[in-house]
Amino acid sequence: MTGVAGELSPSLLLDDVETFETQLEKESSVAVVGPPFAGREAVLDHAQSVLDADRVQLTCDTDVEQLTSRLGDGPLVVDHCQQLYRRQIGGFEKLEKVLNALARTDATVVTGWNSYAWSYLDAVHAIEDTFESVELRSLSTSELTEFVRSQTTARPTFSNDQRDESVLTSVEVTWRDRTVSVPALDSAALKHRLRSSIDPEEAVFSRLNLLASGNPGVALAVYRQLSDEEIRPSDIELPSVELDHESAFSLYTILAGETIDWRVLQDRFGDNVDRVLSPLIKQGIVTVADDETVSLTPRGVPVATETTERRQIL
Amino acid sequence: MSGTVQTTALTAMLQAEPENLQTAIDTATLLGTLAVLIGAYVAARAAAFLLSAAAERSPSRRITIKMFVPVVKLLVYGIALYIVVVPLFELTSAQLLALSGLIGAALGFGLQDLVSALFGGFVLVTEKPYQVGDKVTIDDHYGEVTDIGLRATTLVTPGDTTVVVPNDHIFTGTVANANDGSPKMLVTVDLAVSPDADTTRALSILEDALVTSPYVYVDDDHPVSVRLSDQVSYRQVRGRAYVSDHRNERAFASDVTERALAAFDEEGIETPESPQLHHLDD
Repeated sequence: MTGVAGELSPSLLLDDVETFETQLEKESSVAVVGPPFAGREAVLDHAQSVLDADRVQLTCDTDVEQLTSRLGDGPLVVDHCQQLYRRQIGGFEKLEKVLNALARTDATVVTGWNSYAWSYLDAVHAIEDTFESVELRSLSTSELTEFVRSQTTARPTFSNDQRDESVLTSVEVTWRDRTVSVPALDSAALKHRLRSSIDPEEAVFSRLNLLASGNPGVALAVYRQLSDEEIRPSDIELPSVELDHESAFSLYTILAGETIDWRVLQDRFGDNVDRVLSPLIKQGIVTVADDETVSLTPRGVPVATETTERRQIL
Repeated sequence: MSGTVQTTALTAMLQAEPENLQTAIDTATLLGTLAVLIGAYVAARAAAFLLSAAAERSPSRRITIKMFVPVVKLLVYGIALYIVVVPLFELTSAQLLALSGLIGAALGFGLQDLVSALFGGFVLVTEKPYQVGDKVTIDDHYGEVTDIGLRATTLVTPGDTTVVVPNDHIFTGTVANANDGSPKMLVTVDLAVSPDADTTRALSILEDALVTSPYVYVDDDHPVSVRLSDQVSYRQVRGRAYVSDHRNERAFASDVTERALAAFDEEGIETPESPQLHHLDD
């Protein structure tokens, strides 16, 4: 998974770096929790530097015995801890072994967790009791603007959208196989009319931040796909996908795991996995590498978040 | 006492000025009344349609939005009734009294069931023992409430059968509401294992099956629980967990049962020959 760790400073991602450093000194088990591409690696890099610790990146094939044997050898930073569980029967054994090993060690262990996996595991396994957790903060629009500008060399022109003056539109409303067209307000046109005085560049970055929910990795990836010459606010958009519950759950599984082996998905979804993943791959929401690992793309994060939250998938 | 009141009202009606009475029931008034009633019907149906369509677009707020459907209907029909009685018929207080007397007489001659159902509808809207979107059991009929009308409540059962229940059941019957206005709902899954099976492992498997289901919802207020009970010829492992949307109740139970039984089979946990038990309403 590509990240933006090198370009982000912990002071931008944490509410208070000094408090975090104090936690590293006092607590034996610290969890750094954040969504994909939000800069979790940068905070773990900082922890590694402060503690002069060893670093472990977990994958779905990581031997948990090797990991637990290293827990008492001194400070350790462990990233991608969401790989310690699989959402299936018997899928928590690795996690339980690590939690038990952590309970027996006094050495400082800083762990990195995907925030969606963390929320789930806290609900079903109360892992918050084991760790002192630190959550990454969302960037403000001005912070995000500054970050994106610092990471890109192209300087496009920004323009307002050319829109129809009418703020009235119609929407198709369907219920019980009946569809009617009802008049409705065009929110985009209305916003455009209300904000016509706003600087187009400000409007672009405001919309970018809204879409990325303050996630710098997502914002940068979306911005980089825009034109180098001219950008309008309406260019900031995401693929629209309608997923059934099974497909939405598979997307959630990838969102929470960030990178998942194809076989793991096949174990969970059986022969349907191709059918489930196909629309997500076509829309650029997930990618499949040559080694058959399935990864979420930065552009896929807002889609996955919106889809799974709307369906209240835990 | 009521007979005296009705007689007095009828007398007052008869003594009313003939011109006023004629004005009250001329053709234009009748047509106006018809137009108001049709308009109210169309408006109520349109409002219900739009609210239901809006509700279906937002699963998490579905029941909250649908809660307004019967309220809006009641409001529309109430306004229509007011328009008919006051501005159209321009009834005097004496005529209103006479009309109420006539309604009282009509009730006595056999419309009491209808009026009782209408009052039941009013009580349902104000007391909210259930709302549109809830999963309820009324008179042995289990299903999702799809409409609360003035006269009757409509349920759709899991077998897609539409059941219409007159609203006066609220005065005499019992209503069991499985989710009480929330999309989240507790579902119980019971599985049976042989008396000599490893029940500790069976409970652990069932708990894993519950918490790893795509449909589960867990937090401090919606916990997952498993327990064991000893039956005559088998042991019962019972799991309870909430689903985030009660429409997934059966899918959740099926998913948990299927995966748990597969894991039992894989780990050699024997199940008795008797059919598996699955209670949705326990």
